[in-house]
Amino acid sequence: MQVVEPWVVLTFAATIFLIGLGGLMLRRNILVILMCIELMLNSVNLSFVTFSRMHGDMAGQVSVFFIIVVAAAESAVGLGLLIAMFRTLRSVDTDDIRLLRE
Amino acid sequence: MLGLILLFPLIGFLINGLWYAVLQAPQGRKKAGSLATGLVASSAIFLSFAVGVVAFVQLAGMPEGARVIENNLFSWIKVGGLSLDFVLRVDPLSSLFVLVIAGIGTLIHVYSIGYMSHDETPGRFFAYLNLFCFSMLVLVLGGALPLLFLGWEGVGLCSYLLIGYWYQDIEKAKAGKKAFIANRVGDLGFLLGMFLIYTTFGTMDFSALREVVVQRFGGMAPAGAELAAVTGICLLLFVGCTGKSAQIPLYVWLPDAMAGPTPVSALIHAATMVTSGIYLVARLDFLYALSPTALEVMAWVGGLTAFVAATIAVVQTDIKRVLAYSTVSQLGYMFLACGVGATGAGVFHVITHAFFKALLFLGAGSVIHGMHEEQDILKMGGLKKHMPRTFLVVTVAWLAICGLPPFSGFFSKDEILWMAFASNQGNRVLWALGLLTAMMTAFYMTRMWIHTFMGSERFDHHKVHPHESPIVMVAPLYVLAVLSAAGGFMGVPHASWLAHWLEPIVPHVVPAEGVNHSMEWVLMAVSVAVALLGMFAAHRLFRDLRRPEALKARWAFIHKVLWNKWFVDELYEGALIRPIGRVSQALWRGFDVAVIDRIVLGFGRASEWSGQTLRLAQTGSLQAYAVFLLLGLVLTLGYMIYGLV
Amino acid sequence: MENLVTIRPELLGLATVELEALSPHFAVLGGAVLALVLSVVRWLQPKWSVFLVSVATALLGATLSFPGLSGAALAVFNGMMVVDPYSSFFNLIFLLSALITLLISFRYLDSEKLQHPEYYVLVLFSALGMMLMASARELVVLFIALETMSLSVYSLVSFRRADRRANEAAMKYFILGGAASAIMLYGVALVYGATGTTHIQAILERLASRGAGESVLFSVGAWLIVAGFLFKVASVPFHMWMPDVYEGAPVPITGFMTTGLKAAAFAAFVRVFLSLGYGKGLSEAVETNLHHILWVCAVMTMVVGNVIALTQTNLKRILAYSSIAHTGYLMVGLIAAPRGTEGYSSLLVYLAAYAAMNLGAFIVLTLLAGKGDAGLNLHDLSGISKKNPVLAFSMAVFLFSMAGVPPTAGFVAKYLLFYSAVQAGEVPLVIIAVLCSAISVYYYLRVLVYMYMRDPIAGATSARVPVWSVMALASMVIVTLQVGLLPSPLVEMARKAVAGL
Repeated sequence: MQVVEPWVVLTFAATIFLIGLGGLMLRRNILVILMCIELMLNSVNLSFVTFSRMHGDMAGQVSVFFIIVVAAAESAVGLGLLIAMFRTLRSVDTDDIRLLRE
Repeated sequence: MLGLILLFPLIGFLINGLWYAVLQAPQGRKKAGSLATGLVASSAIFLSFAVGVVAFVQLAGMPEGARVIENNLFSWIKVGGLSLDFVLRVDPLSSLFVLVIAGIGTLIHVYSIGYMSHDETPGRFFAYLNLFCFSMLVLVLGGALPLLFLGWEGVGLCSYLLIGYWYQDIEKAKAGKKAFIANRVGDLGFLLGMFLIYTTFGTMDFSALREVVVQRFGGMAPAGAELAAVTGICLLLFVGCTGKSAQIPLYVWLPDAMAGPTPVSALIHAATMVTSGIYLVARLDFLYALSPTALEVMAWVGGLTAFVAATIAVVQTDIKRVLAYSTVSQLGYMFLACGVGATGAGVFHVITHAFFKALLFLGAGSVIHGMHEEQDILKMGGLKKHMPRTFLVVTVAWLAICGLPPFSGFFSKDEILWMAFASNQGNRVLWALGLLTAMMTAFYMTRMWIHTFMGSERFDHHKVHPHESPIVMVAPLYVLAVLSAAGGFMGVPHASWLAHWLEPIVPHVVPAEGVNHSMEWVLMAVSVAVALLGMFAAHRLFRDLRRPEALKARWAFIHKVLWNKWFVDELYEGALIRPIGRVSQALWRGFDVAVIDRIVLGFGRASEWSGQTLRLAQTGSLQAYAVFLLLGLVLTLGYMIYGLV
Repeated sequence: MENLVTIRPELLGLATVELEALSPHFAVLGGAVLALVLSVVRWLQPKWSVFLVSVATALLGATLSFPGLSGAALAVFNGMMVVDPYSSFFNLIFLLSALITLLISFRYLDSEKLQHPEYYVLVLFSALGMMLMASARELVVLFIALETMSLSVYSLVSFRRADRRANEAAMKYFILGGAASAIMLYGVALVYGATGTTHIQAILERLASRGAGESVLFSVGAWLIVAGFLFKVASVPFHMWMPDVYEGAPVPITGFMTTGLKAAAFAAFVRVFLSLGYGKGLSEAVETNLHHILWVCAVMTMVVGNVIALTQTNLKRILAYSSIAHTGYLMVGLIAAPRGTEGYSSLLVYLAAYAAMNLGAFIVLTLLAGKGDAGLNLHDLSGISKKNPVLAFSMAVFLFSMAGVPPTAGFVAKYLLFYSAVQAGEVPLVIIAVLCSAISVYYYLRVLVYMYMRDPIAGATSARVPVWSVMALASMVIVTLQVGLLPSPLVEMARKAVAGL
């Protein structure tokens, strides 16, 4: 079985992080933006696992569990906010939330 | 203990000041009487006097040559190499001054209770009076030059406040301003002198300074650069004295200062503040002795001032103006004394002058009070029978100032004239000037006395009812009369307790060789004769008003010059004040408005503009924010790894 | 797997001393859970019961934190958290701000017709998160605490569900905050990769021993962590969310955010900062670069905050930008702290003073707010001094404190901060800071001008001030003035707090 080099995984994780960040900036649908945030958090998870393996320390993998939990909570809150917004605004487009400015 | 001398008037000031601020200042309050505030103020200064007496007795009990009581209150300034403590020191010289200031101060405070009883805000008056006494006491008790300067400025301030006491009258306010500004010009000289002392000798404390000077010069006179430095110091300090003690050229404020209430004139402009210059010179006598040039300048300025002021006094018709110019003239005598090396005589004259001049002013105040604020002597006359007690005391003062024995003025003035004639730095011309001035003094004082009290009554009986002043005003006059009459005996020539007492600070000066000692008695006789001559001439001339009127018409030009005070005020106005005003205006327009205002307001406008520009970045768009965030992140990240890669 | 680290059972129990040290945390946790339970118990009038329980919890937590101010540092939970005077100091700030928020929210929620119980519970949980942040010694624990705090606040911001502005504010905050948290977490991961641990102490040790500080990985990771924090405290260039969020959120929550959140972020920030080697001289290059970047950020923050505030007319936005400006000043203190005489204690004093004055200002704003947070423009404030002199006076005190005028707490705090910075050699920075303070005086005093020197607008009602609010207001005024006049106790507390760092 081939062993995957850590740097490959790390690069992969970094790429996913950047994709998430990019999506955050470029996509207009808030639901997609929420998903991008999830992407970023998951890429971090991947990095944690890789580094944990590199150093041989379990702490990294344990941290992943915590991060998953927190990410889930965050999603819950985010979706709740999204629904509240939809109820009043009738839209989930970022262009429609420009009331507060300057 | 010395701190107590200062503390009492300070507390009096605070109490009265607070009283005034709370009870009297708000409009519509019931007019308060002057009794309560006056008592507070008088007791405060009386307590100072009591402590002063205690200090005096203590000093007297100490061995000669070691007569110093010192109190270091607290460390005042500690900056760089300069370390200055708030040191109060009393020695024979300052103890005398303390007694004069506090003693005469008490009498004048009591007098003021009566004089200011109709005033709207007596609390303010007494607060200022107490503050003045406090400052003056700091001046004489200060152990170092900066402390003296503190008192110096303080009395200048109080003088301003009190001259312009009735500030609602613009002329009176202007008089106060004039006093302050003239004093300020003198203070510049004082400050420069003080700085020069510090750089030359390294200390400003009086006893330390004396030691340094004695060490450096021993008994020999300085020469060259050192002489220049010492002369410079003495002359600069003397400039300060011309301001504070009203000599040429800065005397112009004193006559105008008569706009203030009469007790103020008595206390400040006769007995105490104007004598600060003499005190300074006496204090630094060891320094002045080293510079013959400075002494000569001082003597001539003093002599000329005495003469010129006397000429002006001859034609004045306002009773207080006569006394004001008389004060200037007598101060000239004191500086003349110091200038010929007889500083002890100068101090003696300070004390006797304080007695009789204060008495004259307070008496004049009593007359003014009785004549319902009339001050023109041409409108008085025959007050002898209406105000007998005032007449009695003013007569005593009149005799003293004219220099008739055995009154106090005779002893002090005579010693000055003798020393002008006989001492090493003396000058026959100066003596002659002094003698002439003495005659004029007798002349114009007699004129004033006659116009006020003798002769026919020149006022309208229906409008004016002169009455004697209340006892609270007359009692202090009695005390001063006794002092004016008998005070001279402290300085009887060749048996002078005063000269002996002041010996450690102001060495007794002996006449130069080649002068016959019997000349002293001759000159004494001459000066008495001259005084009598002046009095007689005045008596003959002013018995009725027709003869002076004819004289005035005949010598109209001279009269005009003298009446206009030699046009000195107008000279100053044209040559100095107006050009300075024009320069200030130009600077204001050209620099302050054009340059500085532009910079400051420009700063504000720049901030506003940048605010308006930057706020446009807040577009409200979520993604714009995210882009901004990322951009910031990338840039900073780049910088972070810039040095490492 | 190699090196499987087993769990040691004895660590699961807590010794008595640890229990005592953690008592504030447990109190707040217990109180929050109790409040949550009571909120569904219908027959106990949830509005009142939850309110009282929440207030009691906050008070209890604050009281229990007091002993910790003078105690020694105690590591709990296997070193993941520490209870020391530093964390106790901050606990007091958090619980104070929570208490005030609770007190003034009661009437506010009534007038806005919102549900009470969930609000109070969220505030308590947020406070709990803050307390954990101040005590955290492990980066992952820090992240969890950060999220706990932030998620509660996201919900609170959007509490006015029917208001579009509130929704928008919450959404912006959530998205940007989530992104920032993710960035910070990625930084943690990179640091973990560079040093092999996420514990603050251990990071420091490994930096020293292995020289990992030189690696790019560590630098990038460290900066990402710092960036995450800078977002939370709204430093330029990560500040864009703050004005909008502050404007859209309900007024008491804005007050809560500006005091508690900022203090929590700084509390954790300082600990993490020290661990990254800043000031400990571990890596010259990293430290210098970090110093430069923070310098630029601080200057930009101060300038942007103050300058844009000049142009604002909405009170909430003014206070938002002023909050940014204060962050700038705090960053000056942060930069200068390692070399200054006061160290980090000036930062703590400033945060405490800042909390007091801002809470006070927001109390006044809450009382002045109309329906839907209308009526908070400068124009609406005209002549308040005649209708409600107590409010106007208190606001004046707070404004002067924010401007840094003696004898208020704000002046003392600013003075200490700048003095310490000058001692550290950061003179240009302090000059800029002082200039910006001068600019800030304008927009603070402009509010005063409107309050005192304009005529009241017709038709505006004068608000009846309820008891809770009066108590809160009075206490804030007293604190502000008292610290201004007698700052020594506070400064001493702060010094003791940072001694153990």
